Amino acid sequence: MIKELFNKMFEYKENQTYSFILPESSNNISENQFNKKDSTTVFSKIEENKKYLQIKYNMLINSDIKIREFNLTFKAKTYPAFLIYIDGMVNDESINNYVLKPLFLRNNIKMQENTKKFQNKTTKKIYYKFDVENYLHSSLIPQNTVLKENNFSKIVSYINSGFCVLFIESIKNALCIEAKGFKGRNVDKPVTESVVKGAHEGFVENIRTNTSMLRKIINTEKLIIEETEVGVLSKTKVAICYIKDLTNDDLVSECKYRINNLKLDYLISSGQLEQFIKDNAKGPFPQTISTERPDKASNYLLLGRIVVLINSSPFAIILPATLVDFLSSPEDFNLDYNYANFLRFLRFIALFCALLTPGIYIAITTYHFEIIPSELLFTIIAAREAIPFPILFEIITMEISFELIQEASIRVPSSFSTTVGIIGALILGDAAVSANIVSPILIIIVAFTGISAFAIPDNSLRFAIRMFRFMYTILGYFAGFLGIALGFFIHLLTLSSQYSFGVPFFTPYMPFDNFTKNESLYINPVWKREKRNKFLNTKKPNIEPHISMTWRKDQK
Amino acid sequence: MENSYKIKNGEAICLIILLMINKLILNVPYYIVELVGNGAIINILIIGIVDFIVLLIIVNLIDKFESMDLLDISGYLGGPILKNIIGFFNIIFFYLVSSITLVDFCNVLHNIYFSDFSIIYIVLFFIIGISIANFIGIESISHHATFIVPLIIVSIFITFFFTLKNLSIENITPIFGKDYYTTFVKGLSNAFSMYIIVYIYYVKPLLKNQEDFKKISIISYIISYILLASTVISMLSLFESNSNNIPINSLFLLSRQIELGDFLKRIDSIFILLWISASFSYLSLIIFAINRTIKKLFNISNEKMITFSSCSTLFGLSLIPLNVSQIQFIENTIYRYIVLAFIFIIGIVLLILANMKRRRLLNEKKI
Amino acid sequence: MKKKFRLLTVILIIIISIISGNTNVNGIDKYYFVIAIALDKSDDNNLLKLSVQIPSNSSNNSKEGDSSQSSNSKIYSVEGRSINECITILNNYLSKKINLSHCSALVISEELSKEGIRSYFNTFNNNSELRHSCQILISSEKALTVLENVSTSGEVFSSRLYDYLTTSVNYTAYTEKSTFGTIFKSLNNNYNDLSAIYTLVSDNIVQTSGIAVFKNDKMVGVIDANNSMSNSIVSNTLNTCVITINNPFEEQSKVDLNISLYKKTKIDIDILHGKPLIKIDVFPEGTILSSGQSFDFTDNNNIKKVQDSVNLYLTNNIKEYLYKITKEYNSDIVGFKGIYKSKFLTEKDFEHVHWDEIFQDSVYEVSVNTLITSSQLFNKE
Repeated sequence: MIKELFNKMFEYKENQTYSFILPESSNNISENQFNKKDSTTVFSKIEENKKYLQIKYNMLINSDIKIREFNLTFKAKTYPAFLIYIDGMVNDESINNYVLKPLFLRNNIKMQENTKKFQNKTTKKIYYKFDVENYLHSSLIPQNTVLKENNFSKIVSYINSGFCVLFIESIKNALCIEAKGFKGRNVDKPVTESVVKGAHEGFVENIRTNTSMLRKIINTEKLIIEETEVGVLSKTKVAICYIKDLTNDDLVSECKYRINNLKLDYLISSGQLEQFIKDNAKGPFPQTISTERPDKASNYLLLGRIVVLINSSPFAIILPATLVDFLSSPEDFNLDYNYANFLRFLRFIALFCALLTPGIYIAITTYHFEIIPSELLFTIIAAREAIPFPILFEIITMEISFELIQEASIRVPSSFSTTVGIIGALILGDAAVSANIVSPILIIIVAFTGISAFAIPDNSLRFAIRMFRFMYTILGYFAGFLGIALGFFIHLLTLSSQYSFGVPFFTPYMPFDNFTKNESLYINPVWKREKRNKFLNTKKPNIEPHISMTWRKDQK
Repeated sequence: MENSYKIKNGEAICLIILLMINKLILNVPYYIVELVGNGAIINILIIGIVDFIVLLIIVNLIDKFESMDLLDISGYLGGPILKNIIGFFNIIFFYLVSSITLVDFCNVLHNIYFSDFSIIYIVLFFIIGISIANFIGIESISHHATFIVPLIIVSIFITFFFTLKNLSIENITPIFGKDYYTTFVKGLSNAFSMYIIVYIYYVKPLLKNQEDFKKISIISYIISYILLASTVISMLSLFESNSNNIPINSLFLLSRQIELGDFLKRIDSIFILLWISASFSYLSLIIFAINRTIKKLFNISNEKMITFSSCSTLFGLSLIPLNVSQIQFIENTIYRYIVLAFIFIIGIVLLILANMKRRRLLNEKKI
Repeated sequence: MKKKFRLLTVILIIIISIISGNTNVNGIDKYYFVIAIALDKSDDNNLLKLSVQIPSNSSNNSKEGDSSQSSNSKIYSVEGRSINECITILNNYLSKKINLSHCSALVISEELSKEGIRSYFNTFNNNSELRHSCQILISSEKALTVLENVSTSGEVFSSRLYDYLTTSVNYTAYTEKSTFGTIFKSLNNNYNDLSAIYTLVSDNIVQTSGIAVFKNDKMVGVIDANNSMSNSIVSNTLNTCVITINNPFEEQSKVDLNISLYKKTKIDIDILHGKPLIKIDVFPEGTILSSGQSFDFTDNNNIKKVQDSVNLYLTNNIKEYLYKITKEYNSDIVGFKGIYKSKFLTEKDFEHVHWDEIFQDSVYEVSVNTLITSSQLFNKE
C-alpha cells in the first residue's frame, strides 16, 4: 500500500500542458506589395470579373460577401450578369425591390423606337444601336445614386462602403448602385465601456450587423470574416475576423484550430467561448479582451490581432491580450499622448492600490508600525480605541459588505439601485463608525480600494483583482510583509507563466528580450507609433513611415 | 526529457545579478570591510581585476565545449566517477549556501519584525514559496527575476546615493587601510565576494543563445561588481573599521540611514518587501540548481518531481539550531574558502585538464 | 492521487503552523508607543531611573466624533538595574508592550552622562526599534523634568513635541544637531569624540543651550550657547546665525549681523616639535541687520571697519572655543584626528604619531576672512 503510494507519488508524469508559442512570421509583406495600386479595369468577360473579385475578396473563406448571378434578356439576347454586395451593409429591401425587381420584371423589353421629324415632313424611322448600359442607367434602376465605374480599385471601395455593384457580360463598366442600410436592432451606446472622447456605438446581438460595423470602419477588402459553427445543437455562428497580409498566419490558424475543435452541445455567449479557448484554463486573470466597442475592435484588428464575433452576443473577443491592453482604455488613442500617459500611469497605480491597500494596511498595523509617520500612527490608534473587534475581522467585514453593495446594485432593477447606494453609504459608512464597529480610517481604506478597482478599465481584470485582495489581506495579517511578499511572488510566477495565444501575459516587461517602446505602458505620440506590436509578429511591422507628417517636411 | 525552456540573454543576466544581490543584502560587504578596514576601496579594485581575469580565463575555457557545464566537462575528463564526485560536492555546496542564507535571512526578519514568531514559521513561508516556484518552473522564475532585479538595483542605488552624504574623508582614509599586508595579501581572500563566477560554470547549457555566453557573463559580472562596490562604499560611510558593531544585515543597516524629508521616515520597510521577494527568487533558483544536478547525476526524467524532497531537505537543514557565531563562522570562513577553492582550484584545474584532453584527442584525430 | 497529495501538503502546513504557535497576533492595540525616554540616576541608590512619555489618547472625546490625537501625554517612571529590566517592569505595569519605534527623543541627565553612556547606547542599538534619527538631549537637571515641561511648547501633535529643538539650530546655532545615529557613530570610531545637545529647564520651559562635550563616553563639560556657533563654523555645519558686535563708530551702540559661510572652513594640520599645529581658515559672509543708524554702510571704508571688527570677534570666539575643548576638556569633538589621519597611507603609520597624547598641546592659528555683502536695511543711514 505504502509502496504503491510512493510509486505513484514519484512516478514520471508526462507534462500535459498545452503549449503554443507564437512563432515569427515567415512571409513578411513588403511595403510596396502592400500599398500596390490596383489599376485593373473591368473585363469584358463576366467570368473574369467574377474570378477577379472572388480572389480579391477571398470568397472561399470570407463569409459575408454575397454574389447573386442571373440573366438579363434584352432584345432576345441573354446577358449573364451578377450583383455583388456585402451582407449586412446593404439594405435587403432596396436591393430586392429597386434593383432586382426592375431588372427581372422588365426583362423582355421591346426595342425602343425613336422618331424624328425632319423639315421636309417625311418621317424616317431611325434604329439606334441598343445601349444596354445607358438603358439600365437611365430607365431601369430607380436609385438615386448609380455610378458607372471601370476601375476595380474604386469598385472595391464602393462595395466596401455598402454599394451593390452590377456586372453585365460584354459591358466594360460596372454599375455601382447605392443600397446602404443596416439591419437588426438599433445600434446603442456601449454600456460597459463608456468614453468621453470617442465613438458612441456598440455591438449588437446580430452577427451580421456587427461584421458590417467592422467593415464600415475598416474600409479594405483585406478584412476577412470567416464563419464557422460551434455547438452540435445550437450551431452558433462564430465569425473570426482578421486582416489578410497583416495578421500572423500561425495565430490565425491556431485560433481557427481551437474554435473548430470544440465539442459541445451549445454555445450561447462570448463569455463561454472566451473560457473555452483560453490557454491557461484555470487562471483567474483574463487572457482575452472582451469589448462591445466596434472602434476598439477595429483598432486592434488593424494592429494585427484577431477579433472573434459570436451571434447573439454583443461582446467581441480580441486576442491575444497582454496586461497593458487590460490597462488601456479605447480613449487612450484619441487623447493627446500626455493625457493618455497620465491616465495610464494612474490606472497602473490603481491596479496596485486595489490589490494591496488592505493587505498593506493590515500588515502595517499588525507588524510594521515604524513605516508610517508618528502623527499618522497616533491618529490610527486614537481612531481604533473604541473598536471591539480585531483588525482582521474589521477589515474583512467591511470589504465583504462593500462587495455586497456592489453586487446588489448590479442585480437589482435600476429603480432600486439608488436606494441600495443610500443604504450602503449611510448604514455601512456613517452608522458603523458612530456605533464604534469600524474605525473611520478603515472606511477610507475600503473606499479608496473600491475607487481604485473602479479605475481599472477591464471588467474581468477588475474581478480578478477584487478576488485576490482578500488573499493579500489574510496573508498580511498572518505574516506582514513576508506574507505579502510570498503572495506577490507566487502571483507573479503564476502570471508570468501565463500565455494568451502564445503571447506572455506580462509582455513586454517580463520576458525581457521582447522589450520595445511600442508595447509598453507608456504610449508614444501619434507620429511615433511607427511599429505594430513586436510580440504579434505581424507580416507588416510598420504602421507608418518614419516621417508620417509629410506636410511638415514639405514646408521646408 | 530535456528541460525545454531556454533562458534568454536578459533573463540570464538578471538571474546572475539576483544571485549577487542576495549576498549583498546579507553580510558579504560587511565581511570585506571588517577584514581590510578603510583599505576596502583599494581592495575592492584589486579583487575586481583579479576576478575579472579569472572570469575571462574560465569563460574562454568553457566556450570551447559546446553546451556543457562543469559537470559534463568533468564527466568528459574523468568519466562518471569524477562527475559524481564533483556533483556531490556541488550539491553539498548548494545546500550549504541555501540553508545558511535562509537561516540568516529568517534570523534578520525575526529580529526586526517578527520577534513574536518562532523561526520555523518564517522558514516555512520561504519553503512554501520556493517549492511552488519550482513546481511552476524555471521559466517563471527567470521571468520574475527580470521584473524584480531592476527594482532592487534601483533600491541599492537609492541607498548608495543617500548614504553618500555621510561619507566624509575620515571614512575612507588612510587609503591603504590597516597596513599593506592586510590590504594586498590577506585581503585577496575577499575575492570570494564575486562568487557568482561559481554559477557561471553552470549557466551555459541553459542559455538560448549560447554564442552570447561570453557577453552575458561579462555584462552580469560588471553590473554585479558595480553593485558590490557601491554597497561597500556606503558601508564605509557607516562603519569605522575598528568598530565592534554587530551587523544585522548590511543593506538593511544602510537603508535605515536614508532620510527623505519628514514624511517617508523609513523607506527601508519598503525595500525589505523587495528583498524578501529577491530571497524567494534566489532560493528557488538554488533549489532549481540542486534539482538539475541531481537530475544529471541520476538521469531523472523530470526534475520537478524531486522538488518536494529537495525542499524538505532544505527545511530540515535550516532547522538545525545555530547561534550567531556559528553562522558567522560558516559564512565568513568556511564559505569563503570553499568558494575560493571552487573558483581558483577545482574549476580552473578541471577546465585546463579537460582542454588538454580535448586538444590531444583532436590531434590524434588529425593524425 | 494528485488531489490526495495536495491535501496532504496543506494539512502538513496547517499542522506545522499551529504547532509553531502563532495563532494570535499582536496588533497595534497591544502596544504603547513611546515618544520620549528619559534616563536618570535614582535618588537614593545606584539604580537607573527610566521614564517614558506616552501620548494619551483622548478617549473621552472620541464619542463626540473627535478622534484626533492631542498633545496630552502621560509620563511613567520606573527604577531598575538596566534599561531592559526597566522596560520589562514597565511592560508589566502598563499591561501593554512598550514599543520604541516612534521615539523621537532620548534625554539623559548630566549626572548620568558623566559616568559614561556607552552601555546604554549599545543596548538601544541592539534594540532595532529605535530610529537612528532619534534626538539625544543631555539635560542639566533631572531628565524627567524635561519630559514634564516639554509639553508647554504649544505643539498640537504629541509626536512633534521635540521637533523644535533641532529646527531652531538652523537659525540660532546655539547648539548642534545630534541624533542617535551620529552619536553612535562617533562613539564607535576612533577619530572624533562625541557631543550632544545640552538643554536647560527654566521657568517650566525647556530650551537648548550649548553643547555637551564628551571624552570617550563620559561627559566632561559644556560649551555655552555663544561658543557653539564656533563649533558649527569649525565643523562646517553652520546654516545661519546672528551675532552682535560693538559698533566700531560709536561706543554705546551695537551692530547685528547675520552670518553664514560662503566657503567651507579649511583645516590644515601639521606636527611641529611634537605639537600639532592646527591652521583654521574661516570664510564667513555677513549681512548687516541693524546698525544703530550711526554709519553709512554704502561707504567702502566703513564696511572694511565692520569687517575688521567681525574678524576680531569671530577669531576671539573661535579661539576661546578651541581653548576650551583642547585645554580644559581634552576632547576632539571636531575630528582633527580624522583630518590628520587622512594624510597617512596606512593606519600603521599613523599609530606612531600618538595623537591622543599630544592633542592637548595643540597650537591654533585662526584666520577669519569676513565678507560683508549687503545689508537688509532700507535706509541709508
